[in-house]
Amino acid sequence: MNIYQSIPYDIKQALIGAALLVMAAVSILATLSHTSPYQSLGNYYVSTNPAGIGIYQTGKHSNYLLTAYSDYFLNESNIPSPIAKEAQVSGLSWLMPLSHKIDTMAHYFGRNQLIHRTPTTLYKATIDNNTLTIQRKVFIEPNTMKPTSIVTVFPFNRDDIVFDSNGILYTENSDSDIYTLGNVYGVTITRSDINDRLPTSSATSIFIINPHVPGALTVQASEQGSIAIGKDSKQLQIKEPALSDASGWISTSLVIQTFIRPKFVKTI
Amino acid sequence: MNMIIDFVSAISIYIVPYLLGRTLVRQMKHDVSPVATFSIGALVLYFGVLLGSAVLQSLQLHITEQMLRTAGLLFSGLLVLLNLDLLSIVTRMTKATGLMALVGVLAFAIWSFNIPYPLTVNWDVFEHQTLINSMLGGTLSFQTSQISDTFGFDGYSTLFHTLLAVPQFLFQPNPLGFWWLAQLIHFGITLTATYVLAKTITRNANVALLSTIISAFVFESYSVFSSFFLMPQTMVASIAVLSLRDMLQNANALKYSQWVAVIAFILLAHYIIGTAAVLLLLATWVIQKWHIAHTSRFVGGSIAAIIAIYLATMLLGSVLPLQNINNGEAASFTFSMPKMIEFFRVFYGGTFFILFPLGVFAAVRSKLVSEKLLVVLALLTLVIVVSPLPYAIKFYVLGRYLAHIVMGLGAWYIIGNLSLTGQRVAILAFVLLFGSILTLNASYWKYDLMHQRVATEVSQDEIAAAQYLKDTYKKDSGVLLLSDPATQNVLEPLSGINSAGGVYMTIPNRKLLHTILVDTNAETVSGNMAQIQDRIITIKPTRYIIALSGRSYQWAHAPIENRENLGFSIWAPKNLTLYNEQAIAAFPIGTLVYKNPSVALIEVIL
Repeated sequence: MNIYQSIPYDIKQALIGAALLVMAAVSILATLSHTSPYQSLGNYYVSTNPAGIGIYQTGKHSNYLLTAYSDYFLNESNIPSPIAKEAQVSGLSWLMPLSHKIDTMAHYFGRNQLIHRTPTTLYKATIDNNTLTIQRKVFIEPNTMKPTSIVTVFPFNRDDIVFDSNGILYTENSDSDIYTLGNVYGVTITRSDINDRLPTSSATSIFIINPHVPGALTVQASEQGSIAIGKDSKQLQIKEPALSDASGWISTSLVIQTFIRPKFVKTI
Repeated sequence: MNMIIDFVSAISIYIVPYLLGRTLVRQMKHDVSPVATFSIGALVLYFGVLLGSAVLQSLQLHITEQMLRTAGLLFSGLLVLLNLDLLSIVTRMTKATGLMALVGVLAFAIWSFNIPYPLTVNWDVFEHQTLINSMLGGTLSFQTSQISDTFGFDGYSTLFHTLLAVPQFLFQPNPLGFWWLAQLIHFGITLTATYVLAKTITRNANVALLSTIISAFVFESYSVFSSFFLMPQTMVASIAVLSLRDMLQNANALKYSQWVAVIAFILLAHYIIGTAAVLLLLATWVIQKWHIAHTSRFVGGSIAAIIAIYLATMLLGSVLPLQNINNGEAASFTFSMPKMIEFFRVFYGGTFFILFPLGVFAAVRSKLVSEKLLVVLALLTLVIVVSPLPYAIKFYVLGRYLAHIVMGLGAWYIIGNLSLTGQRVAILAFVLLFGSILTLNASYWKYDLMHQRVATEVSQDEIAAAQYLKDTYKKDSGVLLLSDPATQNVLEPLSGINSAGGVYMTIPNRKLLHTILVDTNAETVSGNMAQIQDRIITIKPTRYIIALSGRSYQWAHAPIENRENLGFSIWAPKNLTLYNEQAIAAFPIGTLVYKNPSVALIEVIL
């Protein structure tokens, strides 16, 4: 009688079950899949990465990253402080963690939420058709100075055309680009003051069109918020009141929509 | 209602030849297997169509399309009436059929989760439909290259296309819907082929079920595309596997004439894969005839021979001038062992590397000679697939059936000692495991094809543009559609308007098209347009339709090595960008006749 035959039946069953579990885990981990779960948003993709939440189109140079490591608080004196204090850098091993695989499967079947966390922040991106809503929660350490505002940094690309729903253009695009915009999409836009390098829009909706990329994005702040456009830094700075709840969490929400053709609130 | 018509058309690909074959073989005194019946019917149908077309043309009889359609429908109805006794066989559902259907539905549901009817992710559908459209228009030939300039190389006869053209002619379905359902039916046939072959070889229903589960959830998402895509080679493989089962069950039960019909079908449907399949059948026949598998040295000797074959392929691979084969494309389809391992990780995760060796071990130790034969055939095909020869991976379209049965044996080797309840739970666990692997595979593969939250190689905008072309220009035979290869590939079959070479546009035509897309000088653009040649229809077009799409401009701005590479394409639909719109507005010649967010059509009369 060999060793295998001498093992009691119940233990044999358990060993086979364990072997199957190990085989399943190894088999799943051995699959090749994208390093991050992704979701489709109109012409764009939304995906998480170690830095934050990315909005991009494959094969194009257009890319937008929302990250807790760029966002910041402002106190009463308008002094900024970061909202995420610890850098979380995780190298990707050739075997992806099982949880990423499960996330990927969930996203394949329509799970429309992507999450990015740091020790003090939680960014939750929810997709509904062509709308991406980013809900953010930031934890304020007790016994620290309470911030008055929280600023989301939304970097844009060098050749993006950025204008608001009042038709004010904030990027320094060529006349032919502006002419084409009017010709193709039927909107007339006016350049903002060239000397104002950080203007604040009077509207709460900003449109972003890249002439090399199909479609358009709009970024919408809340009614209490405002959007400043950094012409040199190529950033939208979406400022909102920092209202914390009893447990020390500040919650904000940002809405990004994509369009095949831009939908303008007002045409001048 | 449309979906019903599409389904009836799709199932008629198999039903009409089968019923025809069955009606003809009734007179024979011996049994004819279903696959031989189908092959006989398909060949009679094929040569009947070719001959009938030639006779009608030579006699110049004025028979309208409607008359032919009516005759065809009446004939099909007659075939159904003559074979009504089949209903009693078809309605018998066994437990095995039920389980197979359940597994199949689950696997297909996972695969097509974000591919809504009737969209497709099978790129080859378009070129095959282009050929079918030409046949439906009255251009019939044995050679594909004589019918459409999309086909520069005759890798198969027009048998496959005739089988699909006949139901399309009779029932006039939506082409995309027809293909979507035809692929569902093809998928069912691959599962059936796996199950019956596994059952015949192993005589174990559980191994057959496990093999079918593996076959259902494994999608070879590079170059093979066996289960979910209907193409000549995937149809040939399923027919060859069913024939292999007939041979293993009882080679002597079938007459030589039936084998001639099966072999003729396989060869005509795909010359290269068909030849490989015939060699596989021949090897099996020789081994069975002379009882070679019964000898004690069969497995050892075979493995030694297989190793020698692999070494020979390594030697051959090192001396082949890959840069001269198929315009250099062969080099892109020659893979190293690490690359093959990567492919198998995508297809199987880790399951292949665990279950296949276990299955080999189990089969070698088995008392069944058929299992030893299975291992030898599986290893032989696998060695060819992983060899450093160009296009070798394509032979896995056959090899996958054998490999999955070996893996089924491996899975049973693990769980066969469990209690009955334990086995059932384990089988369910395998379904979950392979279902997960298919999900990850599909998510990985479809990444670049996502368009407006759907995985597709054709957009609704492109379908609408094709409909406009069809409604406006179909009756005008002097129209030539011009666009980048991918847009031509999509618009030509859906509109029925001829293009300059489809996705296989020639290099000279690609050079001319590039200047048309980027040049702003009207004279240069018109001059270059006039030089574009269609290889089959050589009459100068009376008008050109230039399709300017998001794909076109992406192609135009790609590096020249990509633009002039037949293997490069803009696979996914693209909407127009602001600069594309600018270029369309400034196009130097012609009249804009149609536009949507993805495609603009410009009519040019030179």
